[in-house]
Amino acid sequence: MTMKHQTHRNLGDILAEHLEQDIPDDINVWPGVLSRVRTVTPVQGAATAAPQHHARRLRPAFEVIAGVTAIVVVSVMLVAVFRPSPSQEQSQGALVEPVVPAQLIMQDSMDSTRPWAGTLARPVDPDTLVDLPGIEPVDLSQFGAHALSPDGTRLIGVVSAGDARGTPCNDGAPSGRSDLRIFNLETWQWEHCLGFPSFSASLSLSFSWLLWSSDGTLIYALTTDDSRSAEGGKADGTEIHRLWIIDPSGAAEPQSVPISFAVGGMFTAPDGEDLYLFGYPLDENERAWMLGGPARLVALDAHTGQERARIELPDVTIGQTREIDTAGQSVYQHYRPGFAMAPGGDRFYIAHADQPRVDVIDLASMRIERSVSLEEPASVVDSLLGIIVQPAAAKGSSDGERSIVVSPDGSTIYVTGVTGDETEWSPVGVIAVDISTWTFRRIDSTATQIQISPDGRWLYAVDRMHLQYAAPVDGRLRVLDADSGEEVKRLVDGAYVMQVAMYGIDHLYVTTPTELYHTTAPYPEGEQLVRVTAYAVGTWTELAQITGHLNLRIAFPSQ
Amino acid sequence: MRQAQGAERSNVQQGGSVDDRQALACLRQGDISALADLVARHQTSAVRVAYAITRDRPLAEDIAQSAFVRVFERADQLRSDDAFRSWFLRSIANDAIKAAQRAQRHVSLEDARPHVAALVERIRDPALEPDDLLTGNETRAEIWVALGLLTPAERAAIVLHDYLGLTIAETSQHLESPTGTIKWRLHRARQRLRMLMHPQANAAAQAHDLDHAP
Repeated sequence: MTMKHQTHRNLGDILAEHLEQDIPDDINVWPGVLSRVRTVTPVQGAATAAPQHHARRLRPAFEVIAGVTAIVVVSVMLVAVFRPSPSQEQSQGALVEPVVPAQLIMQDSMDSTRPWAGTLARPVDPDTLVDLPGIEPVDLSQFGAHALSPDGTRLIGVVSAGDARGTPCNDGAPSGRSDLRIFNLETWQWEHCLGFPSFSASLSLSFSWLLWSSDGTLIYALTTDDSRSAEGGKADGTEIHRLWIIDPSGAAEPQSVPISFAVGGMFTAPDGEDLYLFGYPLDENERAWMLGGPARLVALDAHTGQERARIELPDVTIGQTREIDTAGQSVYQHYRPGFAMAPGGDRFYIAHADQPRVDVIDLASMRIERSVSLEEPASVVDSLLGIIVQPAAAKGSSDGERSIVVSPDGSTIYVTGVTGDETEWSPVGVIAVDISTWTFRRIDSTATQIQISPDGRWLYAVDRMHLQYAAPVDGRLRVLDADSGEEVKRLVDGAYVMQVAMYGIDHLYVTTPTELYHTTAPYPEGEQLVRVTAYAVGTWTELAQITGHLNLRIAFPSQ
Repeated sequence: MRQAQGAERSNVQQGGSVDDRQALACLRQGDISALADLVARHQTSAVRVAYAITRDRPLAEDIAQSAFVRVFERADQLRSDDAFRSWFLRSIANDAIKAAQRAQRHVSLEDARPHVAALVERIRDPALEPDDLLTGNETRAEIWVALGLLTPAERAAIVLHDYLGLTIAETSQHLESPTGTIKWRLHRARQRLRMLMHPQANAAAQAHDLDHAP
C-alpha cells in the first residue's frame, strides 16, 4: 500500500477520531436552540395573545420534550391566558374573562397515513364533540403564527407562498413570501389577505409574534430578519426586530418601527394606549442570542410604535450567557424567567429564573414597586439537624424555567416551573402570592405546569415524571382548589398529558395518547392514536370522548 | 472508529427517514417537541461538521443552533420528501464555510509551523511504521493542525467526502460547486496533506506550498 493511498484511506477516520474527541456524543445544543426559539420565534399556537407558543402535541418518538420543551411552551402560553377582554372592567379585582373562540374547533390529520400533509379543522359540539352538521372542514394548518381576535370570531395567521398546500392569496407570489390572512371562525369563511408590498419586499422576514389590540382594531406583528440568525446579526445592533402596526381591514398602510433588542414577550394594555415589549439587548460580538445588557420593559405608543418609557432591569437574567463552568469550560447558560401582565394592565410581574423572587413593576410609573422574596425557611427538623435546606422549588437555576399565572381577578399570582435541566431537575410546584399582603405560601410541591380556570376556582396542574430524552412517558393531571391547593380530582394518572384546553367556564378538554400511541408503527392507517376527553367543570364528569389520528387536538383552546 | 464514520456516512446518504419526516410534519403543526427530536438526532453530526470546518467549537455550536432555529422558522417550507439530514448537513457546511471565511479562523503559519515541523520529524523516524503514524495521538493532532492550513472550502470538501463519505457528485451538490471544482479542492487539499506526511517530501516544495496557503 502506498503512502498516498494510506493517507487518503485514513483521513476520514483520523478526522472522525479527532472530532469525537473534541465534540463528544453527549453534546447538547438543545438549550441554546430552545432559548432562541422561545425568545425569537413563536410557533403557531395559543389562540389569543402575545406569546404564540402552543406545542402540546407529542409523538412517541418526540417524548424528548419531556419536560423542558413542554414547560416552556405551556408556560409561555400561560402568560397569554389572561389578556383582558375589552368588554370587561379594567380595574383590579374585576373578573377578566378569557377570549373564547366563536366555536369549539377540533382538528386532526388530513390523511391518517400522512400526518405531515396537513390538518383539517372543523367546529364540534362542546358537549358531544360531534361535528356540527353541514360544515366543510378547512385546512387551517397552513397558518404559521396566528392569533385570535378579542371577540373570538376572527383568526389572523401568517401564510407562506412556499407552502405546498397553496393559499389563494399567494397565487403567483414568489416562494418564501409571507402574508397575513384572516379566517372567520363564525362564518367559516376565508376573508381578505394583507399582502402589502412591504412584506413581499422582505423575503427574509419571519414573524415572531402576532397580537391583536384589545379592541380588535389593530394587529401588531413583530418580525425578525432572518439574516440575524444566518449572518450573525446587524453590525450596529439597531434593528433586531421590526414592529408592524397593521389595520386588519387593510384600508390603511401599515406602519413599522425598528426594535433594537430581542423581544421575549409582547403585551397590550386593556385601554389600548400602550404596547409593552419585554426583552433584552444582544451582545453584538456574539452570533447567538446572548444577553448583552440589562433586561428591559419598554412601553410604546400602541398606535405609532414610538417609545414612551422604559425600565431597565439589571437584576433580571434572561436569554443566553456564556459562562465558565467548574471544569473551566466555556458553557452557555439559559435563563427563562416567567412574566405576565396583571389583568388590569397596571402591573407587570417577573419571576426570576435564577433566584426565588418576583419583581412587581408599576406600569404607570415604570418603576419596580416591590420585590417579593419566595425564599422558604428550612424546616424545623432540618434546622435542628443543622442542614441548610432550600426547597427545590425556591432554588434558582441557570437552566430553570419559571412561569407566572395570574388569577382572573388579579388577586393572586401563581409561580410554577422547573429548576435544573433535562438531566437534573425538580418541580417548582405552585407558590401562590397574595397581592393584597404580598405574602406567599406553597400550595403544591409537584406541579411543573399549571393553567387556571376562567373563574379562578381551579388550577389544572400537570406533573411531569420525566424530563429526560426518551424516558418513559407518564404524568398526571390534577385539579387543585386554587385557594388551598387541595387536590379535588385526578383526571389523568400515568399518561402523558398532551393538551389541557378550556372552553368557557364549564368545559375542560384533555388530550392523551391511546394505548396504541406508544406501540404502533408511525402512521398506521385507521388506528386511533390520540384521545380527547370532555369533562364538565365542577362535577368532573366525563361528557364525551373521541379518538383520532396523530394530530387530533382542540385547535384553538379558549384562552 | 470506522463504525462511527460508517454510521455518519449511512445516515447522511439515506433518504428522508421516517422519523425526520414525522418530526417535520409535527413541526409544521407547531409542535416544538418535534424540533427537540431533530436536535437530539442530528446535533452531534451538525456540530462536528461545523467544527471541522470552522475549528471553533463555540462558533460550531452556534452555527448548529442557528440551523435548527432556521428549521423551526421555515418548517412549512421544507419538503417532506427531501432527505432532511442531507439537506441539513449541507446547510451546516455552507454556514460553516461562510462563518470561517468571516472569522478568518485559519491557523496561522507561525502557529502551524512548529506542529508541521514536529510531524515531519516524526514521519522521518525510520522506526515508525505508517500505521503508527496514523493512529498516534500526536499525529492526529498534527494532521488537525495541517487541516487548518486549508481554506474553509477545502476543509468542507474533505469533511463531506472523507469524513461523511459522500461521493464527489454528492459533495459537489452539497457545496453547490461543480464537480471539477470539488475534485480540484480535494486534490489540492490531499496534496498538501500528503506533502506533510510523505517521508520523502521535498522540504522546499513543502515550504512553498505552506507559504502559499490561504
